[in-house]
Amino acid sequence: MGLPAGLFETARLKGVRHFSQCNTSQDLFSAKEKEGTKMPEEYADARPRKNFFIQMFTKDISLEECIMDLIDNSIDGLVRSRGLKLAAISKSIFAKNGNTKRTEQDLPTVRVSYSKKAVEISDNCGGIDLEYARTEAFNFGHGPEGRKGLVGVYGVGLKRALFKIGDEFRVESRTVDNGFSCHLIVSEWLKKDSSLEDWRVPLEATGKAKGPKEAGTTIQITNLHEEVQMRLEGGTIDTTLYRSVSRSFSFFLDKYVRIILNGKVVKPFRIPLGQPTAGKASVEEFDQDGVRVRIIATIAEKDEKGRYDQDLAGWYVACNGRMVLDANKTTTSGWGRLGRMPTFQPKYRSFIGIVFFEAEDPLLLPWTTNKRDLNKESMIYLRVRNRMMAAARPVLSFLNRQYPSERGEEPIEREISRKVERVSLGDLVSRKGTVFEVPPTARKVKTTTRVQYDAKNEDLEKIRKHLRKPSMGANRIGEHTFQYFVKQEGLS
Amino acid sequence: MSSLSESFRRVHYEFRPAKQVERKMLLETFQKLMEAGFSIADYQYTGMGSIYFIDFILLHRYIGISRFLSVEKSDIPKRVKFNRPFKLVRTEIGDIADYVPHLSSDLQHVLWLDFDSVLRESILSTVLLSCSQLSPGSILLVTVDVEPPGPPEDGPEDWMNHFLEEAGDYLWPEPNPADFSKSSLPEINARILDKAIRSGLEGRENVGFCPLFKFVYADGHKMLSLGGMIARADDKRKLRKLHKAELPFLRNDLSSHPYEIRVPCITRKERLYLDAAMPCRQGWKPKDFELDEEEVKQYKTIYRYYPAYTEMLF
Repeated sequence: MGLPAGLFETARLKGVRHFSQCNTSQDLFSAKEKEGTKMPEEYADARPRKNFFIQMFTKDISLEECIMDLIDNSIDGLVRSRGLKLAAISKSIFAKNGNTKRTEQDLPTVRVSYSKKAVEISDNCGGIDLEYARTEAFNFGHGPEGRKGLVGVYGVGLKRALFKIGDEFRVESRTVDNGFSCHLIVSEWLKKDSSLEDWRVPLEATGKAKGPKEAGTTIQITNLHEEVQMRLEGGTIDTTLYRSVSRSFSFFLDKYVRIILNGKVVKPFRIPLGQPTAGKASVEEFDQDGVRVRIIATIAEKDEKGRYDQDLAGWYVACNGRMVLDANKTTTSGWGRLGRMPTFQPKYRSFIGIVFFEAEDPLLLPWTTNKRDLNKESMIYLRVRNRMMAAARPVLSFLNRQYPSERGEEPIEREISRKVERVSLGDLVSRKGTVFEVPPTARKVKTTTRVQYDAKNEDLEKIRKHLRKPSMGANRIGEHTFQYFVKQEGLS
Repeated sequence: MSSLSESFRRVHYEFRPAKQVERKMLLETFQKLMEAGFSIADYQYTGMGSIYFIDFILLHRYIGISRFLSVEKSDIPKRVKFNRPFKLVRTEIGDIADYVPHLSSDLQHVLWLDFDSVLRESILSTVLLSCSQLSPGSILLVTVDVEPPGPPEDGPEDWMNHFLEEAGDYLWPEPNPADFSKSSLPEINARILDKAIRSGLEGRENVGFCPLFKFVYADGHKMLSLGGMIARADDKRKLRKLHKAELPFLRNDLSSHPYEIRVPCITRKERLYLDAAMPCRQGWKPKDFELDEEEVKQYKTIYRYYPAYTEMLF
């Protein structure tokens, strides 16, 4: 491959040798060697700036996502101190009887409180070790081993949340071995930015927790930014935050952790999973590039009123138990992508698809940095999306057949979908490698056909007068005249 | 239920000579693939057998395949089942795409998506699904009608709009009606199908599509058949053993010119005369009747596969 002509000229003038200009490997080696002996006389600065980092990090993230990042930080405490293995969280998700629910007293608790004055999150999830705080927790990004097994994949969530929400924060944490506190006024911290030394955050060692149940972290953010205050004063934050937390952490809640938002205990969202009685759901399980993948496609369980809630239909995607997409009906999960899945329509309101990705190394998973979306370009997702389509296909065909374009037959599919049974993830996953199927049932042939035609109003009026029924509807007149013909001709 | 394969009502499938030539060329390729180490006899054949099941009969008799599935969208399910030639042919009524996810990954397959309609999104979706489902070593064939879509009064702009609507993402940016002449439609169809195949294989590890067939023929409507193997590296190595000289109709690139199956209209007497001179040298022409060099050349390429029709009273 060569350089573009103009660039090549510049390179030649400056004495830079491009690979294609070297005739032999010997030639290339000697050219490198000659260059290597000469030390540069000057260097250009290429260091980070605090302002840039803070502006860039906080630009594309919502307040709800920030708070969920802080909750992730608490859950990571469980990973570090209680040996919670996120890559094996499926054991509880797919437990046949789902009997891993623990009593409320046993569960570590994350309490989030917010007002226009402050946002505070406190937990008894084990805390952050002093050494970990010194060397890892406040860094922008993890070291090579730092991310293993954590929900905090990229090592930016905590800092991004702190900077996004307010100008001042206090972090106090105690483990069973040690403790620390940290207080920072961000606007002051920003002023000093001449060397990497200025990027440090002051820590103060404090005492350890009394016991494991007391070990935890409290983060208080004050001097909230104006836009954050506005969001917190608005009327929607309670609902949107509850909904996001309930869905994103649905596989953790009541099993590993309790989350309380401004005094309200968050109940885990339950995907309305169903399957036709005596039928099967599509279930596929495989390992791909170090990631365990499970794909499920089926139809939903009906709500208490016997209806399907369209808001709950679509694809759900979880990475190491953290839900990154819920009830997705967009091109992100393949809807409306040519040749893959059709555009979502109300007739698909009972479609439920779930994909679980699990990996020891969270960087292998297809989540974005805010963990609320799929990284559509990730290798693993590119490999899996066609399998999602294959799992969904029989379900969508079944739903299509409920609404045939031609009359004459009562679609049996509509009858089958009236009999849907609730099913647990554990039950589904225990039958590996199935394709969605409904029990073969004889089609009921419809014995009637709707007859429609136009008739002149004056003729209808004449018939009404003749029958002395001035308010007789057109439908009734149609039936009456039809029956009259059948009877008169002796056809009945 | 509307039927995709309505052509069976228009023409008796046994009397489609070009299609029959295509089938026999496929058959010969399968025989050569067996010689190259592919155990095609153990494959499952899934096709759209209509009520004639000709490919099923040939594959059972000459290749020894014994796992068969025929899927047809049909309003005559009893007739379909009645006509299945062997007990081992399973017949299903419905959309073949619904059966593709059921194709076992423990088996290798020959899957012939033998549509008789013009290209539509549903066909592309089935192709894509098949490429994501079929196990390595399997063979995928796709046939579509490449006549202009829509009513006869339509022109290139309407044809372009059809393809934009049905296959927009697989066309090139800013298409122009001038690109959609009638003669270019087979190639446009081939390009779109090629892209659908590649999309279906996207994300699959260590497999690629090795093209084998690109036929164009007409027993009335002009049809395009594309096909090839979903192959791993060792399959690709084995495919190299196929001798191009023995199978001159093979195509290893879907962008190459199609192999055009042309079946000249000749009488039985002429055929016997021509056969006696086959394979003929270049430029040879019959002395006793008029047949130009081009027609002789066409006959020379297909005479081994040319079906013989005769009236049978029974």
